[in-house]
Amino acid sequence: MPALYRASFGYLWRHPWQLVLALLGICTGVSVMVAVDLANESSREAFLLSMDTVTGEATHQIVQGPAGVDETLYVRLRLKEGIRSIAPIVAGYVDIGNITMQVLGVDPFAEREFRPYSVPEPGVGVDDAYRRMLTGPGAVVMSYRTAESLKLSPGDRFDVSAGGRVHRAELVALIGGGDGRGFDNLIIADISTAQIWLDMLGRLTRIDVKIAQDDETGIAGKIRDALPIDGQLLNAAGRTRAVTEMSAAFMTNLTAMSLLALLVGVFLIYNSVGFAVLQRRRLIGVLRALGITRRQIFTLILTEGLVLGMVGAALGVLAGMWLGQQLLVLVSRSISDLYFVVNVTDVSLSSLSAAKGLVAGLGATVIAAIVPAMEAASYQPRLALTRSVLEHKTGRLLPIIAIGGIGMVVLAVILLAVSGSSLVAALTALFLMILGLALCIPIAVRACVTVTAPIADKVGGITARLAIQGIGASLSRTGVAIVALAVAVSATVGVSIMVDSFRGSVSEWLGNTLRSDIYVGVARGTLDADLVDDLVRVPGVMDYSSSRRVWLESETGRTRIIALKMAPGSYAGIDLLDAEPQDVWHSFDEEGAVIVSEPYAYRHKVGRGDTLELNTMHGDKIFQIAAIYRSYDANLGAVLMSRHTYESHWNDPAIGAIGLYLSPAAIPDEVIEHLRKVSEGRQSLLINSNREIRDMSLQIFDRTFIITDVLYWLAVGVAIIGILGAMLALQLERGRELAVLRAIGMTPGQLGTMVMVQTGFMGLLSGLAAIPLGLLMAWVLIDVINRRSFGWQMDIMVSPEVLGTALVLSVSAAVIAGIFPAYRAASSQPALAMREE
Amino acid sequence: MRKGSLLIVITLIIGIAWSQLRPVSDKTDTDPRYVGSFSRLAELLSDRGIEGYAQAAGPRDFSFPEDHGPHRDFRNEWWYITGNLDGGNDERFGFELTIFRFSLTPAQDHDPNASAWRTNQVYIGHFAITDVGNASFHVAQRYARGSLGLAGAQAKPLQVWLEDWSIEAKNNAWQINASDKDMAIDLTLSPLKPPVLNGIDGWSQKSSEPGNASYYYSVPRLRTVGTLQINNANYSVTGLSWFDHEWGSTGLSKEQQGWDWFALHLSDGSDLMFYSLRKNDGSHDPYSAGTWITADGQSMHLGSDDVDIEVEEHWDSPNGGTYPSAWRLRIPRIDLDLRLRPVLDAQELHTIVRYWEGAVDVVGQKAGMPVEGRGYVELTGYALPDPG
Repeated sequence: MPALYRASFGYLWRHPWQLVLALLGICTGVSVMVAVDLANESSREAFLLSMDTVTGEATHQIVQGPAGVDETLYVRLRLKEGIRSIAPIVAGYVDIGNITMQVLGVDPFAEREFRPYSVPEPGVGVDDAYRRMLTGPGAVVMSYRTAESLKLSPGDRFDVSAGGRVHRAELVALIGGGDGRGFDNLIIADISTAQIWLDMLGRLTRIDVKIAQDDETGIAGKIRDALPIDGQLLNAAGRTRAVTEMSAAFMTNLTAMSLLALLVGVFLIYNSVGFAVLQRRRLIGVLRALGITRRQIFTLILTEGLVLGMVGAALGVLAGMWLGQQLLVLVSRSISDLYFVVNVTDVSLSSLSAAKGLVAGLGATVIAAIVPAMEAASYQPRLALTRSVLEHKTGRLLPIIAIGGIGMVVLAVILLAVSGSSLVAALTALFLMILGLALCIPIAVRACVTVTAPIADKVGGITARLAIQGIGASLSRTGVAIVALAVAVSATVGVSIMVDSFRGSVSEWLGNTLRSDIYVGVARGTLDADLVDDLVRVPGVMDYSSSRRVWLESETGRTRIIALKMAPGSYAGIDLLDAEPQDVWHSFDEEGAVIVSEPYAYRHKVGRGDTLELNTMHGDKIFQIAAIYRSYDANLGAVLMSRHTYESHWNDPAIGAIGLYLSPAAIPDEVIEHLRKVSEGRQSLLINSNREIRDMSLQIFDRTFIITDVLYWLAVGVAIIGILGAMLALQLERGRELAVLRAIGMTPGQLGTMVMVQTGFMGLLSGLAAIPLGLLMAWVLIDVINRRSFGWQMDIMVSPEVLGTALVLSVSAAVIAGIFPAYRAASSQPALAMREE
Repeated sequence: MRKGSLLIVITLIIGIAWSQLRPVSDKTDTDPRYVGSFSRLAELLSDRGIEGYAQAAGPRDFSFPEDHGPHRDFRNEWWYITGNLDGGNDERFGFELTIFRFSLTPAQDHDPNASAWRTNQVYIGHFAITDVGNASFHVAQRYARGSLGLAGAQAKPLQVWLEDWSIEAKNNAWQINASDKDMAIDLTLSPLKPPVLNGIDGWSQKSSEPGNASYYYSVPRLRTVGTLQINNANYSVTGLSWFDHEWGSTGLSKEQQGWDWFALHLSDGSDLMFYSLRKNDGSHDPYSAGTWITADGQSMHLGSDDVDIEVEEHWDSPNGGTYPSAWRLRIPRIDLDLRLRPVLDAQELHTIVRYWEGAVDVVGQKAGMPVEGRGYVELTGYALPDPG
């Protein structure tokens, strides 16, 4: 048996191109998967780590309404209830230059049980760091790494801005030895400093609580009894989970994209192993004639595949780690844009990601190698010597494969129909569908070739006909290459259509929603009430609307609340999906009814006529839902209510942003200039015209989809490598045939052209197959995946450009892949080639 | 004594930074940082940062009850109560409740827009019970900022509190309350003698350096009645307590290492307070001083030369450090000859700073007549602070 394996590896060794391409295919597929996994996990990890740091030893947290916890509750709990394992926290975000930092405001005296590291050690800061922290407004501590990244040393002063105001800060000490990873972009200040910076005078973001598992002393009960009616004692881990869950669908989608790359990789492996078998049909026939059993042949081929898979997957994991680092920037930025601020500086080289990559790579190889291995094992000793038998067999198999494919599609449809709102099921169905349709491609290719060959003969003569018939004649090889390219290109079609449709819908929605002429807001904060009064009196301002967005927390998770004071012009900006405006606005304005965004409605399965319960300062209250409205802005969904409704249920007078409606005669730039003057020295405002807001929103949108672009180009890359491998092997295998053609008078140029036409036509077939496949994928992505992930609905917009691009892409990918094989074919020596055989 | 408290307070503040609030480490006493910190304490205490604070520059007029309250212009201040108590069935207890106040900066700026948490006042409390019958000693420590009502002090009516630990004037008596996981006291203290000004009319000079002094008075004898709880057992208790109140802005001088402080209630109704300052070389500092109070409340200042103290036994703390544990104390001027012995050796406080503060029994003779008594002794500067 060792001799058998020696023969096997000797063969691969003598065909290094094939070896390299096979490895490259596996490696690329695995690396994309590992990279996405690492980027996802690192982002999640970084977020959890920083949550761990700020949560510390807290097991529970007390929160209260959107405006925060009344600080006297803390004093009451400590003095009256004698509860000592509590710590007050004022937390939020500030900007230092263009870096966003989390601020954790603590009472150092209460910290020992929770975050002992939040207090400076001696010798790592200015003298008296601790005293300064308590008494000096603006004194902060941060980790070594954070200080290093900001180029600060203890004693340095710097500016932080929050809520449109700039505050002076001083770094007094460094904390958190070791690698300090959880401390990245975290600054800790005394609570008195944090209250000023974050405009939280009199209030706390939360009260951290530490309750022992058995809670012998009944702290939880005592706290619940002492809480105001809108106060909540929530599980700390649950709160962290609720935040991370926001990004779960986003990450799942990225993972699905990476699996697509792996799927393309599977085709490649199948291709490579298949070729290795085909090329050795003679050797295998001889081996069988010599008495080697089917089983041994099967094992041999599978082992070959496994070794290839192992090496390829190992290389893929290494490459994936590098790639992951590149992707991480994109992923973490998108997560920060969309969900929660996360700063990831390191890829967490988790062995789990690596293991996943290895297993997936190996698994894919085994699956891909089983069919060729079975085929090799099935060779009759004598028959194996003739190639035509193989193609004949392939030809007979085609309908069976296609039927199997159709079966998979049917299965996918059934799965979609019965799986409710499961995202994983939807993604599984999507893959089944892609796979199923891909299996139908070869039979379609054969039909195509049969139809086009005579036409080709008329148009391009014998060379063209040979080229095209060649595709059909060696379908066992060309088919797989076409399928691989088609799948990759269809992914670009599907994703492009999805992104275009999405962007189009968002853009239209923004155009409709943004009704005001000028928007005034503040970075990370709320507007001064006095300032708002002055701003809306600026000449040229006719009317205004205001909004306040807050999170409301409860045992069951968090709810986004948006409180709107609407101007008459604002109503038309809200696109009601299941009710007529006249039926909605009266109850919204006068009767305390709310409207919910589409994602909210989808997630909670509610609509017009239903109710929802929210925890208010008067206790739990039932709200009528008057309608569902279209919104792409918060993918967990939002509950929209009138300012009046909001203020009568929550004690929170703050205003987040205002939209100004100008009189027809007003000149926007002059008004903006005026607004700036009014706000000067009071609060630095973000003042933007309608157009600017729209552009900025779309920018964030585009930024989010950069990663999608990157991923599908990687898939295309995998496909190009695949088709290159296929063509190369095809030409190598057909060396004798080509030599014969040369010998009977075909010029090198004609031969090269023939190969190019062949690959070009394969590319065209791939492109043509990719279009329906891509459209179907787009539909699934938009109507199923997106809906299940985010609850959004959008109109499918198919631009001819996308389809044209798909054709161009697949033809050019094929042509690029064909260049080298064409050159080889043209430059081959007929006599030599024939002698080799 | 309370000189020593200066040390404690400042050590507390320094200590919070490097020891108390950090994660527990396994650093030993040999860690040069701790040794260094400790030996440099006197240096840290000496002069730095006292500028801007009020100084105890000379005698002043005391007025009560105002002076029972806080003196925030001074850097340090403390209210110190110790006492010996008896339960109904021959149980014997000692207790200590101390609240320290510390100004982090000379003056609190009054920014109306400032956070209510903002303060320059820090409070630290020590609460200890000695359970003689069970030979056990229990300590608790707290700290809080002097804002939002978490901790604070006021004169009229007297109220000094740190979360739910408090010293309050109520109906011509003082009510003190403190509790922790396994212990609590709820006591009413009625003064049997008026306040006694220590030093020169309450001005207590600590070294030859001008200004190195504090204001210091005592209410030496308070009848004490109330309840004491330890390990879920409740006791009705009665006994005698001692109250000290001292404030100032300076610390030990460079040559001083620590002190031994004695406060004794004698069976004939007289009381004695004496603090003995020790120099770095172990010798007796001439600025040591005390007060003798007769049964009818007359007081007499005692200078360093008036009192002769011999240490007769020592106790080795299991955590390192050797403390004196039996004394012979003689005051020839009033023909007093006493022997003092702790009711329990292990009355060492493992707080931010490590010190020994415990109940003692007294026997001896006064003017040839047998006399006995009880008291409290405080010993500082004998041990390195606990690491972590």
